[in-house]
Order: sequence, then C-alpha cells, then structure tokens
Amino acid sequence: MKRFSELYLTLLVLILIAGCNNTFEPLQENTKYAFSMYGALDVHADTQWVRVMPIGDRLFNDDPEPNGTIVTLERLTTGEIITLNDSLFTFGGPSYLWNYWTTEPLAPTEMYRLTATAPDGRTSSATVLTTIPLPDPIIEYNNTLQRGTVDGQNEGRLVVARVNFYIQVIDDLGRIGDEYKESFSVLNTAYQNWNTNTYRFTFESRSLLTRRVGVPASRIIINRIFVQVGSGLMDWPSYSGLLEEEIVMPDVVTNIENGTGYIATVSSKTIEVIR
Amino acid sequence: MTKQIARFHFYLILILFASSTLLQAQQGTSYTLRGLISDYQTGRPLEYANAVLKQINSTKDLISTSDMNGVYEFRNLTTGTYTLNIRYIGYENFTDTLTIGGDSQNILINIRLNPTSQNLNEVVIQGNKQIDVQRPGQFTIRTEDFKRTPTPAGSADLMGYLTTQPGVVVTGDRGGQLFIRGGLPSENMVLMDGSLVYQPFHIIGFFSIFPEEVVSKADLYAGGFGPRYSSRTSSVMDVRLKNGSLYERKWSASISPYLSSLYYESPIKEGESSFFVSARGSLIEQSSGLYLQEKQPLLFNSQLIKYSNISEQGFNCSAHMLRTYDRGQLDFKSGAFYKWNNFVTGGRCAGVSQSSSLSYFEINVGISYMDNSVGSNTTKGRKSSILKSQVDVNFIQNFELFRLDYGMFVNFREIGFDIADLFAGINSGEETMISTGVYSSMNIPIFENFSIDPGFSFTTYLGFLKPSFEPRVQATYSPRGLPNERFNAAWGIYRQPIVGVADFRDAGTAFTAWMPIPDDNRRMYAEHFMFGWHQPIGEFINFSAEGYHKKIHNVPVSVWSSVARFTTDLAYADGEVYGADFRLNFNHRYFYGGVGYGYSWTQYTTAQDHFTTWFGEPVTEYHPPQDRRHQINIQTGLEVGNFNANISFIYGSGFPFTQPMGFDTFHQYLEEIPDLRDTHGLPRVIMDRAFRGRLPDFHRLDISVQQKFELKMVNLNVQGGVLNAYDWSNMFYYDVFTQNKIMQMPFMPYISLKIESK
Repeated sequence: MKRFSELYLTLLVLILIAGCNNTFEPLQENTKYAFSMYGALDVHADTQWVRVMPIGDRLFNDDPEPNGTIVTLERLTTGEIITLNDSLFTFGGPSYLWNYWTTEPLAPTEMYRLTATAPDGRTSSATVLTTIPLPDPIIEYNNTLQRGTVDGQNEGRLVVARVNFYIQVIDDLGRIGDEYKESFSVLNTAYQNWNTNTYRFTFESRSLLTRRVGVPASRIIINRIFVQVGSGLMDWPSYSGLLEEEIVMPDVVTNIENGTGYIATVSSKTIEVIR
Repeated sequence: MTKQIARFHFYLILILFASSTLLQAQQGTSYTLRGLISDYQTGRPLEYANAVLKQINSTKDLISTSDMNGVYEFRNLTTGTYTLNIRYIGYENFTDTLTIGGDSQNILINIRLNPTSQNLNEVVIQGNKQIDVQRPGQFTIRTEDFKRTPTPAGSADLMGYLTTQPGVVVTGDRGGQLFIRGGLPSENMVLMDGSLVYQPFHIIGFFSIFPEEVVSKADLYAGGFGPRYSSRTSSVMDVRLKNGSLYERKWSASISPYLSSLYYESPIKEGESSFFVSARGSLIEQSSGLYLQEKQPLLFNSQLIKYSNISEQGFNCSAHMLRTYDRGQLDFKSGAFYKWNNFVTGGRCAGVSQSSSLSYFEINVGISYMDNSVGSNTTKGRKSSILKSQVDVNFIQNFELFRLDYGMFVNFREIGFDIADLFAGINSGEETMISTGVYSSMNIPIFENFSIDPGFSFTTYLGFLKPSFEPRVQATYSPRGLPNERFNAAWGIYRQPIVGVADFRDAGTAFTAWMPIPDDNRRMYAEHFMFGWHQPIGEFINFSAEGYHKKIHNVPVSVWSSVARFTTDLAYADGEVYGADFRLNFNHRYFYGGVGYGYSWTQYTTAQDHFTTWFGEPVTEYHPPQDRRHQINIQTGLEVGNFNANISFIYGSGFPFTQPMGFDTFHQYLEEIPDLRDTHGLPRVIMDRAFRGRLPDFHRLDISVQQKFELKMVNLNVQGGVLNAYDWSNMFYYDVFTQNKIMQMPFMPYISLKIESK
C-alpha cells in the first residue's frame, strides 16, 4: 500500500514539474514580411494616397500612436526623394490605419520606388512604372433612354470603367431618403480597340439601378452621375484563374518586396455626366 | 473484392450452421437448459454469474457463465435429475434440484438473485473478483467506478469519469465534445438502452445525461467494435440504464453550485414493473455570479423517465424518454450562443423463450431527435437538425461449434441544415434517408483458450447511397484460460453514411451540422487495427495495454483560408491515428486508485486546390486540433465507512493550433481603384501553414471529500471539493482571428448536499 502511495506521489510531482512549462507563443516568428502596402499611384491625381501598415500582431490595430514608419517615394531616373505625410484613419471601432500622402505631381512613364522603413530599419518596397496620361473621354447621355455612351483614347490597358450614381430613393410611404452613392463596374461591357487605341462602353442607368436598389425606376431620383475611367499597364493586378483562397494569399498578387500588398499605377479620370 | 468477402462469409455461415445442425441431429434427444440471471430488486441482468449444473450420482460438474445479457445455458443434457447452483458475488447463492426430461427439449429457468443482507443497497466488488471479459477496445464502466471521480454535484456523472480515461480527449471544460482515439465527436455513437443519443454530453464539461442514479453500466468501445454497431467510424458507447426498484420506493435530491437534481423510483406493480424519473438543471450561471470572478453563461437541463417490466417468462421490456436542453457561450466575450436539444424515446424487449431454440433475442425501437444552432443577436445563425427512427432485432444462438450473433435493422433519417455563413457551396437543405441492413458475427473457439469472431455488417440505402459492406474480425487468447487474463486483437472496416460537419479550425465549437455525405464516391470510412493485453496482477491490481492504428478516409474538413469570416468550402482529408492506452488499477475495499497513460498521434492529409499556390505542393499533412499526444490520468481514493475522499489529476499535452505570422488588411483591385480613405480592407491572417503551433499543456487537480450521515428519516451526503485545486490557467482554445485566449474554469470550490431515502 505504501509503495503505491509513493508511486502516485512521485508521478504527481513529475507531472507538475513537466506541466510548468506553460509558455505560449501565439505568433510564429516573422522575418518575411515587414509592411503591408496598398494603393495606386495616379498621374492625374492631385494627391497620391497609399496605405502602409506594419504587419501587425493582431487582426485590428487598436493603437492610435504613430508607429515611426517613414514612407518615401523615389523617382529612380533623377534620384529625387519625396517623404510622404502620414494620416491616421479609423473606420469605426478601435481599428486604426495609417495612410500616407503627397501632393507632389508624378511624372508619367517614369520608374518610382515606394519604400517604407520601420524604426528598427526593416523595409518593404515596391518599384513601379507610372502610366501614360489618359485623355478625357467623350460622354453622351440620352435622357429619354437614360443611356450613356463613353468613348475615349487610351494607350494603356483599360482597367477601370465605372459609373457612380448619387441617388435618393422614395420609400413605400412616399418619403424621400438621403442621398447616397451606388457604384457599378461596366468594364466587362467595354470594348477596347488595340489598333486605334480607342475604347467604348455604354451604361443604362435605369436597369442598373432598379436591379441593385430593388425598387421601380420611378422611385429612384438620380441627382448626379459620374463616369470613372482608368488606364493601367499590363501589370495591373489580375485575378483571372485564381481561386478565392488564392486571391487572398499574401504571395500571390503582390509586387512588394519584404512585404504584402500591391502598389499599382493608373491614369484615371472621373467626369460628371451632363444631362 | 467486397463481393468476394461477402460471398465467403455467407458460405462460412451456411457451412457452420449446417454442420452444427447435423451434429445436433446425430446426437439424438438432448435437452437445453437456459435462463436469465437477474437482480431480484430491479431485474437487472447479472453478467458473469457462475452457474454450476451437476447430475445426481455424477461427479462431473457442468459450468456456464452468464453473458452480458445475464443468460446462462447448458446444452446436450440427458434425462435425469440435476442440481443447479448459481453464484454471484454480493448475492445469495441459488440452489435448486431439477428433473430434466419430457417432450420439450428447451427448458427455461429464470433466476432472480437476492443481494446479501450487507449489500442490500449497493453491491461493490473489490479486487479482481469482478470478471470483465471484454472485447477488443471495450472498456466497461460501472457506477461504482465513476462515483470515484470528483464531481461538483451531489451525484457522480459518467462524463466526469470518461474525461479521466486515456484515449478520451475533451478540448475543454465546456462544449461537450469528446474525441476518442483521434476520431471526431460526430464519429462517436452513444446508445441509451439501444436508442441513439446524438449529443449526450452537456455544455458544462463535467456532466452528461448519465448521472449515477440512472446508469446500470456503460461499455465504451474505443475502436475495433463488432458488426452489431454500424454507421460510425470511431467509437461506440453502449449505456444500459438501470431499472427502477420492483419492491421499494427510493428518492434523492441534491444541490451544488453547478446543478440541482431530483430522482425518484418506484414499483408500479410490485415484483413486476417499475419506473424511475430523473431531472437535472444547471445552476452555475446563477451561482458563478455570486462567487466567481467571471459569470459562466452556461445552462442545461434534462429529464429522463424509464418504465420497465420484468416477466416470469424471462421477458423484460422497458420504455424510456429523454429530453435535454443546453445553451451557452464557449467564448464568454464573443456573443455567440450555442444551443442544442435532444429528444429520445424508445423501447426495448429482450429475453429468452422456452419455445425457441434461440439463446437470446432483443428488439429495440427508438426515435432520436437533435437540433443545434449557433448565432448571436447580430449575426445570422446556423442550424442543423436530425431525426432518426430505428428498429433493430438482435438474436444470439448457441450451436455446438460456435455462437452466432445476428440481427437486422431499419433506419429512417431526416436531416435539415442551414449553414449559409459557414460553408459556401453547402448552404441549406433537407434530406431523408432510409437504410436497412443485416449483421452477423460468430464466436468460434479454435483451441481451448483461443477464439475468433469473424463477422460483417451489410447496409443498403435503398438507392440513396451505394450499399455498404463492413467486414470485421476479433480474436481473443487467454493463455492460462483465466477469464481476465487475455490478449485481444481486432480488425474492421467502418463506414459512416452521414457526416457531422464542424468548423474545427480552432477547436472552439460545439455546433455540428449533420448532413448526408456530400459525395457518395467519397464516403467516410475507417479501418481499425487493434491489439490489447489485459493482465491481473495479484488480487487487487489490474493492468491493461492496448495499441491501435486507425486509417480514416474522406473526413470532411474546412478549406483553409487566411481571411477572417471568409466563407469556405468543404474539402476532404485522410487521417491516420496511432496510439496506445495503458491502465494500472488498484481496487481494494478501502483504498483504490489508478494510473492511465494514453499516447496518440493523429495526422490528416488533405489536398486542396490552392495548396500548390500556397505551399508549392498540392497535398499537405497536419495534426488536427484534437491531436493530444500525451495524456496522463491519476486517480486515487479512500472509502472508510460512510466517508470517502477522491483525488483526480489529469495532464494532457497541448493541442495543435494555427500560429499566424502576422495580420494585415487586404484590398482587391478588381475593376476598381481601392479607395483607401473610405475603406478599411479585409482583415487577413498571414500564416505559413495551419496547426503548426501547440497550445500550452493542460493539467488540473480535483479533490473531493464526502461524508454520509445516516439520519432518522433520510441519509444526508455532504460533499466538499475543489476543481482546479492549484488554480492553473488552462487554455480552452486560441482564436486565431481574434487572438482571444479562451480560458477554462479557474479554482472552483464547491459544496454539494444530497438527501436520499434510506
């Protein structure tokens, strides 16, 4: 009997000692990715905006304090370096994100390198070629048919063709709601002629909006319509042939060294439709 | 191949049947004496009772041992006068003189044994006097076993005991999910008097629908089980409810911070029929707010009633009805509530008949319903329900050369599920399925101490699925002919027609969506190999060791994705499980204890379309969340008079979890330029491969002391104890997406009171 008591006691002590190793490392060591970088450098934009965030140790960054990241944009042919300004954004809840911006104009068809540097010296960067400028498209709108036609010149690749409506909806009791934006991509209907470097697309306001909003056209008040076109290069991110799980993988659609994300280049124009 | 095996079995049965019949015919008039040995008070069958038949003026004793149904049998008796003596530990001996002869070749004598006067309330058998001739993978649990596990309630519970057994893994102290030898909870079958119970374990991890008052015994088959049980690929727990007393009214009531319970049993017609009713309800939600730092939002209640009738003709019938409700949060901060309901009703008739050559027959009829859901006030919930009605008929027939177990079954299942936000591709639906089948197994003694049990189960789904053929074989060798000393081996194929799909990416779930297998060509099945050794050592010690290897095919698993709340599709995995369970038990009247060690290695191999892009290879291997590698259980206790003290220590190595490299927000450039000033982006987990990390080890010490006071009118049991005595911070699981560490219960003292009739 005594021998068994001793056996139990010894086992108990051994297990307690073994069990004391209670270290828990929720994160795997990360030497591969320093920053996440997203955004499109637009040769027509007044201000360039990019999102640069250190790869976090939590899903939502709840710390609004500056993280010490320096973001620079270098024009490779001249060596000119611009340091971008930081702006803190929040989107409801304790989730803070840093966007960086500059009002310096970008030269078309030039190589630029966007670099993010952490206080500890870790960097991520993207090297990109800016696009060819995009002429203003010609937009015709038939108010009777509520149909628009967009024609334009483009030496690059048409990557954005969108129509943005600012509308109000009349509810069942006849009350008019607040104005809001409904945005539609019509890129899949766009025709691009590579010989003449022209493109054309059309849109029908009534059918687009009734399908999306789910009420008859008579109950939709269209206040303003904007057409957005964007021209990119052949390296504009493409998702064709990728599974949903593949699209979200950090190494699949990326041009960031030592980081995640994608910095694209584009020439975009947003023009209000005159009706 | 399966057709050939089926044909082989068919011919084998035919040959054996024919040869035994021929032998019987050649022997001329002979008599068979059989009957049921049962407890006088309740009618409970007594297993392994010793029956000795001696012909007057003969020196030769014929010996038979009652089987698991309490049936004893003597064959090939000649005309004459005999003395029949029945012995069973804890009961008075039975002796009678019989005259065998006459027209009827089958003689039926049912015997009800009286407990000896000192054991009227409870028969406790110490040491190795209790014989457990178990099948491979089988582990028999009696109420006196699980009364020795500290339980924070007035009555012990089968669940509390199960979680201290090697090979049985629970991911935490809530959720009611049991993983047995690497199998998923949905691969386990739990039967209550023959009726299936889909979710018998309550949301508080110490309790099930089986408190000590209602259980007669439970057989846990951790694998390698025989063909009587089909449609599950991991384990079977066959629980037999006790019968209410046929002569006395008994009652009890208990209360603890965790739950309150009421129990009542009474004869209806003295000596013939009785019933019991048991009702339990949790209190921890209310009581935790009073004395714990954190309120435990966990609630359950259950009600069980059973009627039983014992006939003098050896015919026992019973009916039962169960209702349960569970509701609670596994992560107290998440807002997601899990709920489930069970409703089970059924009946069972079993016995022996003088007019039949059958040794035993049994008919079970049951309806089992379960629904479960998860959701919060702000999110669309997921729901799943399943209804199964079953009829099965089972026979046992002894022949000269072998024993034949066979039977048939018909099942009807109706399944409904709505899991739109969990798995893309499978959203919602309702399905019905009818299946019917037969099974057979033979116990064939090859040599004096060696027997094999080949068998099969065949199920047809009437066009819903392809028919299923499951061959199985077991072998037992007792080197010295001692019943408790044996080597066992088993092999078998196990198929499952319905799957329980759960999002076990992070282990912290209690929601299971039952559904028919999505693809009949990828039906889930498993192959079990098992080898065991059971060895009594001296009078009080038992040692057992069992090694196992399981191959599991087509386990439905979640498609891996790195985006939080990203809907996913289902994929399939093949699993491989190796392991060994060791037990060393000491069982003395006053002092008892046991040490168990379980080693298990579980690995899944899965091929998913995006793995080549992710890992550079189409197939990856990983250890799923239930892969607990080492488990140690130590239990000890002391029982002197009306006082007992119990200590239980459990240690388990850490579960696998996914260790992220970091997090970012993801944007797409799909026909648009991301507006970084207006959009947050999709939160993303950056990970190399899933399940490469390990959670911290788990260990917990539970202690209880109990004193019974025999008062004038009633008995009062006072129990005091602590769970997690040294207040170790055990992690339940780690949520990769929210980085929440969900912890298990802290140091938890309790006092329970139980009053019961004398």
